[in-house]
Amino acid sequence: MKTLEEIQNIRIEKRKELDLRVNTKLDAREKHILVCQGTGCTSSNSPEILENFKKIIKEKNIENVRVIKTGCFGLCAKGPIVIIRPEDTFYAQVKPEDCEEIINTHIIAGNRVERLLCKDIDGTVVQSLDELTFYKKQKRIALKNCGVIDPENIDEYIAFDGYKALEKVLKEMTPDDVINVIKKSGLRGRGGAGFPTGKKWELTKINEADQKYVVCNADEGDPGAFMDRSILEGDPHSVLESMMIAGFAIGANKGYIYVRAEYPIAVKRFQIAINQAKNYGILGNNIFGTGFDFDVEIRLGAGAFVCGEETALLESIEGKRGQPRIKPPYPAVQGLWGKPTLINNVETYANITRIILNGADWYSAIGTEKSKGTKVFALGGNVNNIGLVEVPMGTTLREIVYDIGGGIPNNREFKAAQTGGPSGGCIPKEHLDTPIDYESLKEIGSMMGSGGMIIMDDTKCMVNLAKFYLEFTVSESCGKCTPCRVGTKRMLEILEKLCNGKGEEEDIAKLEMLAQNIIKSSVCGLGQSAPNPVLSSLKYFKDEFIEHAVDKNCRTHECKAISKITIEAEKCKGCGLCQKFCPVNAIEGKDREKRVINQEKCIRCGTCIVKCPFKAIS
Amino acid sequence: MEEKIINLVIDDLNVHVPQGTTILEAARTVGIDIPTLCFLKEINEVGDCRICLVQIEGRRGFTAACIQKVEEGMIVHTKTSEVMEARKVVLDLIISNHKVECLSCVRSGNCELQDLAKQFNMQDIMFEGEKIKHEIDNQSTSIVRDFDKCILCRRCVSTCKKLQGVGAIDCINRGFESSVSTVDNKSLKDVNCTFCGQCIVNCPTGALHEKESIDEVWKKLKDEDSYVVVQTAPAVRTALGEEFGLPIGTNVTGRMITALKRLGFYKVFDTNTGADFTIMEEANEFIERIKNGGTLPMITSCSPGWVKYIEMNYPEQLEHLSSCKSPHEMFGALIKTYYAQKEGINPNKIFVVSVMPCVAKKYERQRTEMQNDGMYDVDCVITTRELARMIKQANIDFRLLEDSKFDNPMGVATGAAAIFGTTGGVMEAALRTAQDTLTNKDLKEIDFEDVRGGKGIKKATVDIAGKKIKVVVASGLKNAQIIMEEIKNGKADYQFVEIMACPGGCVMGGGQPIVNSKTRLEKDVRKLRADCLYSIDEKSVIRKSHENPVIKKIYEEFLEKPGSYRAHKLLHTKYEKKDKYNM
Amino acid sequence: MARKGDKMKEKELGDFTKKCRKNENLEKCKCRDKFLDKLFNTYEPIKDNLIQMLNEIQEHYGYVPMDVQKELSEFLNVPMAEIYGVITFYSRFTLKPKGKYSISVCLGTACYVKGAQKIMDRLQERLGISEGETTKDRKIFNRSAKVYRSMRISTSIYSKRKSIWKSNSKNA
Repeated sequence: MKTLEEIQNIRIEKRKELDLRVNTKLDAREKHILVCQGTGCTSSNSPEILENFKKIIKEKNIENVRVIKTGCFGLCAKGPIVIIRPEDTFYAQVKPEDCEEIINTHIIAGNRVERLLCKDIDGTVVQSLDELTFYKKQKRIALKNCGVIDPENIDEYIAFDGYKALEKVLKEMTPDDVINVIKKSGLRGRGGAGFPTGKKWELTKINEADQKYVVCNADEGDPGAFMDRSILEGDPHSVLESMMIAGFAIGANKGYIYVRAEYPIAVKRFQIAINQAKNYGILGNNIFGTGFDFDVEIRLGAGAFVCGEETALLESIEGKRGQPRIKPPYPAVQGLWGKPTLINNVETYANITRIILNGADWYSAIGTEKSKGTKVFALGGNVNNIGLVEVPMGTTLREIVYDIGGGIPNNREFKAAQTGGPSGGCIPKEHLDTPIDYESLKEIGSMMGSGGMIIMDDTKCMVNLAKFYLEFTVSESCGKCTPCRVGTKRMLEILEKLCNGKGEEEDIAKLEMLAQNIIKSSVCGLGQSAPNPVLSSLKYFKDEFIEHAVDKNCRTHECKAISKITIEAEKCKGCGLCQKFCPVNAIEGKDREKRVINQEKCIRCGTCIVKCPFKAIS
Repeated sequence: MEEKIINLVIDDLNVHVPQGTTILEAARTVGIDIPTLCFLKEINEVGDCRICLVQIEGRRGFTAACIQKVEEGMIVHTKTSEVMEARKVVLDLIISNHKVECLSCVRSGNCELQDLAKQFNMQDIMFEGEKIKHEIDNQSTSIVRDFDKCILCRRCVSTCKKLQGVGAIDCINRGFESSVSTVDNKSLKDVNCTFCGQCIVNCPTGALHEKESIDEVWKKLKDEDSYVVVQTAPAVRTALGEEFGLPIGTNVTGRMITALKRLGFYKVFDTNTGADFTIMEEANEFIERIKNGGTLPMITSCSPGWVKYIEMNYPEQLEHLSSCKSPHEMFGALIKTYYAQKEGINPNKIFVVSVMPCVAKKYERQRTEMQNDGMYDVDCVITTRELARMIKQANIDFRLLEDSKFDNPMGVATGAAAIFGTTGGVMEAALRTAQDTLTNKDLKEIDFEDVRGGKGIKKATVDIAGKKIKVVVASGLKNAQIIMEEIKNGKADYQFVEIMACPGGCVMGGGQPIVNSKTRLEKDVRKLRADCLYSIDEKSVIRKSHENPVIKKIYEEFLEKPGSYRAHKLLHTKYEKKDKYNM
Repeated sequence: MARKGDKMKEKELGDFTKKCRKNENLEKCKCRDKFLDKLFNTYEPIKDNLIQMLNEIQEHYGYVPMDVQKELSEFLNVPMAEIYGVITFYSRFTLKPKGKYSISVCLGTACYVKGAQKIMDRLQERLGISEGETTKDRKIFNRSAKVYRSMRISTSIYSKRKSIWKSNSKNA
């Protein structure tokens, strides 16, 4: 147990020690080697790198150097990432065997290991982290501590103003004050629909009950999003602290965090955070001597996308099949075990402490008129800088793709961006300059969703992509209501027909009609949004659908059954390489003659396209 | 407290209904009939099938009218073209994953899906595609599951789990693969199913039906070497008429007997006579238990679903169960002994068919305990529905039949036996006999109003010969469970308990004609059928089992007295712990 | 609502995660009773704990054996059909033993766009099994491998690809 003063002392003392993490100009005696231990880097051996550093430092008896495990730095494509502070040197794609060289050259001799330095998109070698274009347009609020602190060390969290917001709330504010600040900040739910967070808190508060609950939704379901995981892995205490603040505001003293069991590192770190907070007396009874009690438990999800839907999540916490409840009543009235329950997602909570400390005005100054603050996106697909980015609302797609994301690899052309995952839609080239916020995305037929953002180049077939998302929703539909259970399956079947060249033009109209009806008739958000990827693809890429249905052709060759591979006679030099590699002998022609593909034999494997030295085959 | 009235507008009509009313109910008050499918009042109110969608102004998306409560100032549209299209798409989707073999379906003509298709003028299916295939489970004695016809309304799941507290079936898998299943898709015979058959009568389609024994009966009827004797349970006569378009609760006893005779049965007997024997034995057993300090409370054992339930769930409480066989089993045993002897027929040639409102009786019949000298007491059980089917097969116009009477020498039954078919009836009948026996008088106060009515659990105290006796009547296995928990935890202060597996008793049995959900919204089916039995009782000359001359005669000539050695051999049975699951 | 179970869980977690993989001979598994005793002592017999307990069982055995479902049904007083319904709802729970090695192919959007499906197809072709199945390996110990999809561990392609091929090289 720690008294409030002791915690304040930790904050001051530890902060001095850690200043070199954020102040690059600092002439510190110490050096900190930060090794990313997020899931991405962990799966490419970053724990071994961490251990190697520790071992070498111990062996060589080096003083004033500390090795720190941190959460995600965001630029996952360059992982495993090692950063040395205070000078902020960014080493990318480090291997365990590189540790020795980094220690010898960088730490002992004081020179950078040039070959490991991160290169920017244009090929320039980056000396320090903030030179990277990837970070230049970002503004980190929710991810503030990720990659800065050791997530398994509560003292480091406290050093960066941790639990200060809780102290402020408990000591100086009333529940209504807290709700007013959140309302004024303009923060909206980061889980998908963007419901105003302060209003949600207020609605839960006004319902009198002997017991209320605070729930954190960490069942990140979008197959293209991983920001919630990164926040839990990199800064678990901020979520815990915010849940406590929410508990105080709505009058709850019990919290549950529902985490996917597929996120073992996040689960482990959050459990450590709970244990540490309990040891310090920050979590438990009579917190900071104010009489406020709060307790948090972890509940593991067991692999069902639909449990990201708030009422399905509640069912799952209660030990049942995760089938959504019919709303109303909303969880604010009847939630967990029938009691008023507040549910927010991880990223929403991650903003709370910052808003409390910096004020509503500070937060509402960021973003657009209706969408305040920042949003974290998981940038992926055909883009150079794959990773986690946090930008102010209103940043345009072009800025994200080209400035932060570094553009499309292999000089290909941007075709579309998919946001909102299986509930969202695609944004075509003509909307690259749309400032991104809740309203504008909705207007152009997509949605914010939880923040997955997949960039597609011109090799991607939009019909096939729509099929991919439908496959996902079909396998993840809970099966409760007819439109979603059978309807999405029937949509998928139509798309499969189209991709296999068995579709007809009228199938497209059928698809659209069915999609509209599923949206209107389904019970929960999953079904109501499942057709979105199809509808938005239809909106912007209808010609591709028609091409599939009428011409039986897929221009990208992704739909193998209907993609015709042909050799451009003018470009063909008759080298015969394609013929040599064709696995089914579908290419005809002799010696130096121009080659022709026998379409009946061709299995559209694409080998010849790759092998042709003259790019004559497509 | 005064009921708050909510004002709303449905299709431009002003509607005023009490708070808590659903849109579906509110619309009905002004003559708007919103279609439903998964909805079953008080049993399955989930809003899953989406057939009842309506549009509420100011809401995005459509709302299920069956569960949405009215709100002040709500403006509801039930028949805009969008709503109609959405409903039609939903129905289309449901049918697209349905077996659609109406011609050979047992529910054809009484299928809620078929009715909807007709109502929606479905001419072809727009969204055809893959259908989920299931194996038919016809291995149990009582219930066939043909889940290719299942539309996932989950009425059966709610019935089994919530109404009956059994949970033999549940939803499994998810998404398009979802289905209703037992654990590991085992046959119902290997799981905790009690064969109450409530799932069947609540199923809107043909996905659940009884294991049919019609062919066996036809075969025996044609076999000249067999004496095919039929007996009919009290509840059959109140409901059989429904299958021929007669109003619910019509007493068709006379026409039923005529029809059975025309079908070619050698003799038509009344299970009610068996019920009178049950009362004699049960009342005697109860008095003995009170006198000799036997296990109390004593619980009735006429309901085979209930018996299976207690054997599986409360095996340590089996001592409480009366050792009496159920009426048709007792009667079957007497037919093959007393009657055979009297008529000089070789009992091996007698084939006893019981017409029952029940599918669990099909299971009970083949229990090894239900034999005497290697012969089953009853050889075949058919349900009320199966009898109706036989009558139709035989081209009999049921409605035009004249009345007939049950055959002698066992053709007399009392009013007490008639009310066996409804919850509280067994109790009332037993009390009439116990009262007279203990006081040695012929008492006139014989209506026990406290044990009548549709409530799931009824408790009453009766004064018999200066003794206060506390009795409980429970129907529905969920209520049985409540009583059993009381008994188990030593909280039972009552001496006599009547339990029937089906909510409402045998009149609402799993073998009875199926009434669709819409009619059930309008009519109290249980009450109509039960009232018919009470009126038979009222009109009866003899209303106490022990006064039945046939009973007296058979005791005199054959059984000696209730509880005698022979009575025990023929009319009583024993129970044993049963495993819930055969893994 | 007080849930005693969870507090104890923190202490016991270490023991639970010890895995039992004697899939073929479950009855002979010595740790079975010990494991169930511990499980039933840790959690209160309330239905809310069902998913948590299934998580422990899945973790211990690599699947949820039928006879353990039966014991769980008795312990929680929940019908087996309901437990079975919960198990089949969540993709993390499996009814059959998994193989010694399991190959997870990330089919998250990012990986999909970069061709994860091709990897999946190739693996299925190579191993002769489809998604969710286990090979009948003819090696001495009758070990088996499994392909299943873990949809959403979507992260940078690099790490994922590496781990895919790593596990592949062990098996193929």
